Formats: sequence, C-alpha cells, structure tokens
Amino acid sequence: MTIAIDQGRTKHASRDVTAWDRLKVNRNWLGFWFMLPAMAFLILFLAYPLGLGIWISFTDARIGRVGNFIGLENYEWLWDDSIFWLSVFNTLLYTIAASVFKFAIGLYLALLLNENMPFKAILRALVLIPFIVPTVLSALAFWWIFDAQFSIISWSLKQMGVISQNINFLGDVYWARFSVIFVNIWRGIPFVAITLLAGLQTVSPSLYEAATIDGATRWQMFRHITYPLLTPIIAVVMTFSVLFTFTDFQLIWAMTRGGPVNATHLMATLSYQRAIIGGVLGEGSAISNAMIPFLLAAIMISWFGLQRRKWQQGESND
Amino acid sequence: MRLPSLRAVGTEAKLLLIGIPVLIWTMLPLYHMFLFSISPKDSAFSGKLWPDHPTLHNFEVVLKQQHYYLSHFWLQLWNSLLIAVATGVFTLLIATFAAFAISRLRVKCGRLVMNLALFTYFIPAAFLAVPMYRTMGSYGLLNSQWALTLAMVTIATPYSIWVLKQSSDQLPVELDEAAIMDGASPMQLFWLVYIPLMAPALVAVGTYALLLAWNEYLYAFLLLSKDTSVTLPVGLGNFLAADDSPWELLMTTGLIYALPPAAIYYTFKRYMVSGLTAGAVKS
Repeated sequence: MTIAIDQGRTKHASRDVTAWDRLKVNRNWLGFWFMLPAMAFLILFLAYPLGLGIWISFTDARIGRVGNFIGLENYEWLWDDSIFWLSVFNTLLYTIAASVFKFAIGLYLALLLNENMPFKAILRALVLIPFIVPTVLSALAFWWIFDAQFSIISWSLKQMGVISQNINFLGDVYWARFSVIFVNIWRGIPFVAITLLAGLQTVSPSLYEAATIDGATRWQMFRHITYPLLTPIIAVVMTFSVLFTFTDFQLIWAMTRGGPVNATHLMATLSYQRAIIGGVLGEGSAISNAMIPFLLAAIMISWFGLQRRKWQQGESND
Repeated sequence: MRLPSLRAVGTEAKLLLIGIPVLIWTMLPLYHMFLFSISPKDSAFSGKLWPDHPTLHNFEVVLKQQHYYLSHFWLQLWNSLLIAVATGVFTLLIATFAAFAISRLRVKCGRLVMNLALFTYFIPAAFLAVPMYRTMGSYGLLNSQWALTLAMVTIATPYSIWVLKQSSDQLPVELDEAAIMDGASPMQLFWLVYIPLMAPALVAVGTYALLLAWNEYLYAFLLLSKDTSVTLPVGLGNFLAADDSPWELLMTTGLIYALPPAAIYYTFKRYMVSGLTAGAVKS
C-alpha cells in the first residue's frame, strides 16, 4: 500500500519535473530566447530603416519634417537630372575598373603567396597592411601623394624629366577619377588576395602531383585544377568586392567629396550630399534605391556562378 | 639535380622581383605618412627619404593636445575605443546566441534566418545611411554614442552570425549528445561545451566587429556631431575642412589612430584569416 502511494507520488513528482524541465529545456522555446536579441536588432535597426528608406523615397521628406506621399516624383526628377546620370556613370566606371584590377592583381598575388618562397610570412603580413589601415587614414595618406603642389609622383616624374609641370591629380576630372580608382585598388587587393589564398590552400597538392606526372604545363594546371576549384570562392569574393566598391562612400568623401565638378560623385556620395547636407531626404533615398537593381544584378551573377560549379561537380543542389 | 636548383634560383629571383614592387606599393603611402610625423613642420616637403632632423615634436603636440584641431584628441580616442569595444561585445553576445540557437538547438526556420542574415550582409552600409539617420532620429538617439554603437552592431551582426554558424556546424554533434547524456541542460551545454570550443571563431568575430567600429567613418560622421562625442576619424576629417591644415599633425594623429587596429589584427591574425574565411570556403 505504502509502496503504491510512494510510487504514485514519485510518478506525480517526476511528471511535474518533466513539465517544468520541458519548459526550461524545450529546444524551440529556448531557441526562441536565444534568437530574440538578434531578431530584435535586425528588425529595429535593419528592417525598419530599410522599409523607411523605400517609403521616404516616395515622399517629399526633408530634415526635420515628415514628408507627404508624392508618388514617383523623386524618381521622375532624377530621371531628368544629368548629375544623377553622371554619378551612375562614375559608379559603374569606378566599380568595373577597380574590380577588374583588384581581381587580376589579387589572384596573381594569391598564387604567388601560395608558393614556397623566402620571407613568405613577412610578405603575407605586408600584403595585408592596406586592408588594416582605416579607410580615412589611407585617404589622407593618398591626399598627399596626389597633392597638386607637393605630390611625390609629380616630383619623381619631374626629376626624371617626363613632365615639366605638376599633375593636378585631384583637381582634373580625368586624373581625379584615376586617383580614386587607384586608391580603391590599393585598399581592395589584400581582401581579394588573402581570401583567394585561403581558398588555394584547400586545394589538395596531390592533384598537382598527378597533373605533373601527366605532364601538364603550369597554365594547364591553373586552367583545369586551380580555376575550377577556386570558382566558388572567386564568386563570393568578387561579389563582395563589387558590392562594396559600388556603394563606396568613405574613400570618396574623404578624398574629393565628389569633386571636381561632380566627376567623382558616386551614387552613395550623391545620395548623402542631397539627403543629409542638402536636407532633401526623399531625393537622397531615391538615389540610394536606384542602386538596388545594380546590386541585385551583381548578386544574381555570383549566385549563378556558384550554381554552375555545383552542377559541374555533379553534386546535388541542397 | 642541377636543373631544378637553377630553376629554383630563377623562381626566387622572380619572386624577389615581384616582392619589391609589392613592398613599395603597399608601404609608400604609409612611409610617406610616417616621414611627415617625424619631420619638423617646414622640412616636410623637401622630398627626402629621411629627414635631416627627425623629431618626436609632432607626437608631443598631439599627445598634449596643443593645437586647436586637437583640443579633444584624448576624448575622441576614448570615444573611438568605447564604441569599438561596446560594438565588439554586443555583436559577440548577439551573434553567439543566434548561432547557437540555429546550429545546436536547431530552431525551426533556422535556415531561413541564415539566408536572411546572408542577404542582409549584402546590404551595404552606405545604402542604409539616410534611413538610418531618420530611424535614429525617431528613436531619439541622434547625437548619442548609443546610436553609433547600435548601428555598428546591426551592421556587424549578420556576417558574424553567418561565420559563427559555419564554424559551429563543424563541431561534432557527438559532443552535444555526450553532454546531454551526462545530464547537461542546454544552458550548461552553451556555457561549458559550446563557448570554449568556439573560442577561436569568437575571437575572430569579436575582432572583426571591433575593427569595423573603430574604422567606421560614414556612420560616425552621420550620427554624431558634437566635437566632444565624435570618434577620432571624424576628428581627423575635420582637419581637412581647413585650408591651412597642419599636415604634420594630421599625419601624426593618423598614425596613432592606425596603431591599435594593426596591433590587434596582427595579434589575432591566426584566428582572423581562418575564422573569417571559413564561411566563404565552405559555402
């Protein structure tokens, strides 16, 4: 009798424990609590501003004033705005020129650093420097290199007798574009090189050994082993590189503020200038939103790049 | 035997030939800067490779805040540090919780959250600048350092979740199972099993967020305006507004500003490259 009661009690108690435990231990419930901070942040500070950005572009909002809905007026206005189209052209030029060079030089450096050579560790560390130096600082350093009067480039060229007058790097339309693209390449190479290097190191050396035995040339090895295996990481790196170059703000703002005569205005800097400095939030947001199609295109291209590689390897798409 | 060694010499020469331009290419702008910082004001433009009278006077001026533009140097440095550390800590907490929930607790729609996180990483900071300004305004946070910290945490979090999730997927599930068999609660699992094993990736992510905040210019510029609350890069940017900028001081301040991230980066480099590229290689 007592045993039975005890049994009943313990059963009851243990059921209590499991119920409480389940509440505490329940994976989904706990998972929800663990996800909560991230969700809250992303909704409050990412999703809300994103939605707001799209909404503002359809209003005539200014700083300190809530705008009224005006439909597509901002976009129509931009369509006829030659400075906006100039900024689109600049952005495309900036992105394409810088990305091509960053990729070519970065890949070359990665292949070099992957080989055995003296001072490898030091070289690797050095290559990273432009990436670590804060953007504003590299802009300042290059300000001097491109200075109209004291430029070290002009000085050296003059010493060599190539030119007789200083080059006005940041004051001339074409030189200014060249200069900002140059600095962007300088800053961007380490990211491409180091990430591709990490990818190269995952390629098994036995593949190269087998290819060497089969008498493959270096170019054949690159074309048929390195390149296919590196494709997915190239896609990822170049997508990021293109995205960040396309939306660059800091470098341009610190170096030229969009000048001379808007020659280096990118869409991001123009948006900032119109929205925050000019106070016309609606128009600034519309310029930002005009970046979306380009960004989507870049993402799609890289996504299909990844897909193709899976198909080549015969993996199932998960 | 002779042929390969000859070839090796050839490659070595070739590598040196490439190594030297790389060295000049990366170091020239920074060396130029360093040169400025140790030159007296009037001889900075002489075009020499080493100044005739190297001096630490510029550093003294900066550290003692003896110039109009530098009157808040220490405060701005402190602001930078505070915001960077706060961003690092918050990002780490939020991202670790989320990665644990997705990877180990296997919450429903974890995959969806991961894809969203990856997607949000594609949203560039400059794209959000204008609405972020408005959002912080409506939360009443403009000109508060919280605004910058929260914005930086938001920007750093998606990528951090992604990286942490990738590396926690590499931990064997058997560890979890063994711990649960021994009666560990999920909280114990988190603190006693997961966190210690994830330490290298956590270092990488924390450093990433910290450096991101330390280097940030656009949002610092956008969300803060008082001279006493801005971070050092904004302070540096204000130098440029003047026509007669004291260049040697600007460069000196810049060098001081660049030292902490370089030191942190090279200390944790081992973790950084492997940790942050893990996601990219695996995908």
